Amino acid sequence: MAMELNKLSAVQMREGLLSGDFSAVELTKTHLEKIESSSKELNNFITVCSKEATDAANKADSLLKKDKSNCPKLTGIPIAVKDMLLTKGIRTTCSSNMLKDFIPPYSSTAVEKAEANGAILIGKTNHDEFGMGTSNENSYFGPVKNPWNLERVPGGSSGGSAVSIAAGHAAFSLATDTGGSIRQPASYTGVVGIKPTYGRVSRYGVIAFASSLDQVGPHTRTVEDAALILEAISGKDSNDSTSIDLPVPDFLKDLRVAKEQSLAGLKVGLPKEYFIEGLDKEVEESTRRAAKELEKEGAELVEISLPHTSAALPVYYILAPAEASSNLARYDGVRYGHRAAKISNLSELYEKTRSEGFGAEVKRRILIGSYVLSSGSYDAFYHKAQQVRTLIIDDFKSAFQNSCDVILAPVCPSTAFKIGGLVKSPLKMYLQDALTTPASLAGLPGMSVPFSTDSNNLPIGVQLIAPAFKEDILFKTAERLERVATIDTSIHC
Amino acid sequence: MPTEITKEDIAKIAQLARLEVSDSEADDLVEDLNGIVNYVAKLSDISTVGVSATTHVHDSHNIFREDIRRDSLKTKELEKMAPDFSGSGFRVPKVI
Amino acid sequence: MPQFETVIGLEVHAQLDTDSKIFAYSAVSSGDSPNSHTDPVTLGLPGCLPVLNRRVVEFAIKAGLATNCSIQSESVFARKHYHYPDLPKGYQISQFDKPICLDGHLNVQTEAGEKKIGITRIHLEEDAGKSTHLETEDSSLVDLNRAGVPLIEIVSEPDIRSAEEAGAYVRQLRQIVRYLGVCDGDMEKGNLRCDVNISIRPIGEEKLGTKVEIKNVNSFRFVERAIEYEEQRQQAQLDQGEEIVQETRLWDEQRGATRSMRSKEFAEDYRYFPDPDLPIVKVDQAWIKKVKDSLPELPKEVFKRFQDIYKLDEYLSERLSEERYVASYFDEAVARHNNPQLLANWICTELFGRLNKENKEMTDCPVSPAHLAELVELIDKKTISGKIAKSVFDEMFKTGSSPASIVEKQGLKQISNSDELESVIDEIISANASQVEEFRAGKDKVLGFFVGQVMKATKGKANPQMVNEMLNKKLKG
Repeated sequence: MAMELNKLSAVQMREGLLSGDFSAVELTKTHLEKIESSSKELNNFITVCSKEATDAANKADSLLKKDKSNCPKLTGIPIAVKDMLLTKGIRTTCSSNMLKDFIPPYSSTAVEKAEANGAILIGKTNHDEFGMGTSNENSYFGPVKNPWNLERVPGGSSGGSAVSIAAGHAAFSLATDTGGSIRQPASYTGVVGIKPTYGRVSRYGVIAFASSLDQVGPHTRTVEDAALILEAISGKDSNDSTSIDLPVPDFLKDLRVAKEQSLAGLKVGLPKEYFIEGLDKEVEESTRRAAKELEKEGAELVEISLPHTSAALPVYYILAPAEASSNLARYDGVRYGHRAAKISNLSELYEKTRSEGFGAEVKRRILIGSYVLSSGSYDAFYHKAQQVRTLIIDDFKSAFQNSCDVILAPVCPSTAFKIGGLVKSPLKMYLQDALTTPASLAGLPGMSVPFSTDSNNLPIGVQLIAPAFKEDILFKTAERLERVATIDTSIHC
Repeated sequence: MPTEITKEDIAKIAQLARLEVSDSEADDLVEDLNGIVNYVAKLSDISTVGVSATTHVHDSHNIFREDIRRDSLKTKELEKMAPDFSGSGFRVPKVI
Repeated sequence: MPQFETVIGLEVHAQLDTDSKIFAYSAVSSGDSPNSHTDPVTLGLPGCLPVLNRRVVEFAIKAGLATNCSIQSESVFARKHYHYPDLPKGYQISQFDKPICLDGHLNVQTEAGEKKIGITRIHLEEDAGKSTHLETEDSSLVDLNRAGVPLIEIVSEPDIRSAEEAGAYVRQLRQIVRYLGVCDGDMEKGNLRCDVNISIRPIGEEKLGTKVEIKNVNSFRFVERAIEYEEQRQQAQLDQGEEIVQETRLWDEQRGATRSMRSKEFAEDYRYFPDPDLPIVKVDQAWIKKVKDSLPELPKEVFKRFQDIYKLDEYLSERLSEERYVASYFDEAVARHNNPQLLANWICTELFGRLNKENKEMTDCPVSPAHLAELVELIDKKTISGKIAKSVFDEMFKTGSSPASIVEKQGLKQISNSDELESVIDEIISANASQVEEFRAGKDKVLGFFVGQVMKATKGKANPQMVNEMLNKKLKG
């Protein structure tokens, strides 16, 4: 029984805790043991908070005993957090040498909200340094492995977060998505991942990569869990000027209502531009089958066109590095973080500190970003990219206004590739983001739902995109796919 | 679109970004950056006449806070975080 | 050399007097121990985000309205990138393409008459921290108290043609921001600083000469002197057939000269782009009107009112309208007792003089407007003489008490009772027979002696006009 506890969904864990089937301490202990048994191999954690988690579990049990009916909704449930979200008093490294000993004096709002709802922080997960990567091979703390196949990448940048869920190390985890960093690893590791609408979740306390794109979202094993945790962490934050002042729906409650209804009237758009040349045949087949399943449930399939889809990646690889080069300018060894040891003047302080602190991919992107912002390049690159971004946004607006309610598409061109397989070609690595960057650029909510596996027994996810602030459509659609999915998301727990 | 990036360009950008780039690193970077730049240059084929630039993805504006002071972080906390804090300030090599 | 003219543009930075910083909630305050006003946003910690202080925008709108600018309906914050230890994020949040105010002007007074100086723009930005060099080591210490303090940068058109015009312009700007209450204008503390852009060209030439920038000039005098020096330096260079180097210089007061700042190896490229963390600022007509309605009377309006309504001369009108606090003080006193001329004199001579002596500011004046008005009223009612009033004032300044209470306590009421005066005068006349003789012999000046004696006997309280009249009568027989 003990080993099975971590196969439960968060919703089931809550029910079990409330009915007294097991305690929070038992639950946390199970997860810590699982972490002990497999995280070294998988390398998905940078910091494990055993003591803090156990203390918190004890407190959770007291609360459950004293006042069960008023316990916040995530009481006693273990949560992993990507090491780009600040956790007060607990090392937050950003998977980088630059911050490897950084202990923040404040927590990110998303983590604060989860903890205010009773969640227990079990550890900080590994990821591509500063969020830059699609394979989790760019971490100062070493690559993360995919539990489905240890020779394969889990995807990135939030590889460690997705693996924590796939491997049963936590009930859910909080990660970040800038160009696909939640959705792509979700697809590679067979878990649910959602990037909410830009502005839905506060970015305060999230180490910034690309400010106009970064969003916090969860990895979970079930769609209901994603609805549960997203509601808990969403909402206007006065500390984040880009967080939007809209009421947060009770996503889980709404989902449970929608579950009982037919999908008749739901128009599902299939964008022809996403079925690109080079799309893995099995991924395509799985995606189309998913669409057919929705049709069986009463939805109407519509072929749509998002004409500027192929421009999304170039736009992303101008805007994201540009914003990153700006956001990373603060790392200079003066107020926190790494500082080079032997420096004889101010220039050396900056140059040596930054060159030692940052890995190769981060440096590459800072250079690209500085280049596209430099005078002489700004108009042709940065400004141009922002204009094309408008066209991409308009494509979605038009599709949602005229043709469909939700978009269904593949998440990425392939399933998990081999570790080391793409490191020599940055461009090929970037192409992993081709199908997730459009929704990022448009600020729209996007989800990856585990659906099937390929002939190598590697997970294949299905991507859903909804209009802004309509995450409810994602949940209700995703849950239908989950019912007929041919993949066991807790098999590696 | 601007022409090919040279090693001199790399040196200039590296200086702006305060990054040290060795000679061999520069060789690789020239290739990498040119590859990326050529890739993103595809955007020049797309017409953007009369298209406004998106600087913020939602229409929000006038997000303010009121002019109220809150407590500062204590210098003890600054000292804990900083690589070199002297008791009253962050110490750095002489600023000319 | 009469064939050259000087073209000057000024960039004035004014620190706004809000309670908290422009994007962070720690305090705007000076003179406190280093790094005592920091927070995650000020420090540029990973994960921090800026949130705009509404009052800062209002202050900028005030400054724009007071300088005849057009307040922009949309303005945008942009990041300006460069590396310096006192710049925590490695970029400064400023405004580039779309500043909050455009197209203003000031009319300045010079010896040659009134001149209109254009203001290109006013924009908002955050200040950087401070570095202090440690003598004993080869290092500097960075203090981030000032990092994130709100600034407005007021950029003039290159309409200024002389040191005098520049001085007048900066003086007026400073007066305006102080009047508005948006900046204390303390140049010594660096709360108001000036960058001077100066070039020279042959008269009649339209093209601008090579521009030299003199940074961080922090007094009117230095602005004027730096300009005068630069004019000559540049003319001398051109005379020698040398070209002017475009560079940044500093005013060195000790040497009485500008000197070149160490040149950087690479040109700075600020890589401006709109800050994605900050939504745009929209200012509509309703907001502009609200701010406009809240503006105080501006110095020029006050000056005119003092001249037209109170009938004060130019000198007094100027002195009393120079500082808003003084103008309010004066208005309040006049409202209590309607003798603007006498009140004006008392303020400008006695009050200012005493404040100066005690090194006090007008805002710390122990004499309230009501009390000063009361004092002047007592003089007008002839309850006390002008001379006694001075000693009453002295006591008022020392204790803050009302003049009436002081007069009462010290029994200083002027003696205007003719019977009482007569008896004193009679006594003195009979006691000084020889002086009486002298007076009657034609020595008119002896009258002063008698007046003095009466004053002495009455402890200065005798009504001087009455004393004079009565003495004259009695002595003449």
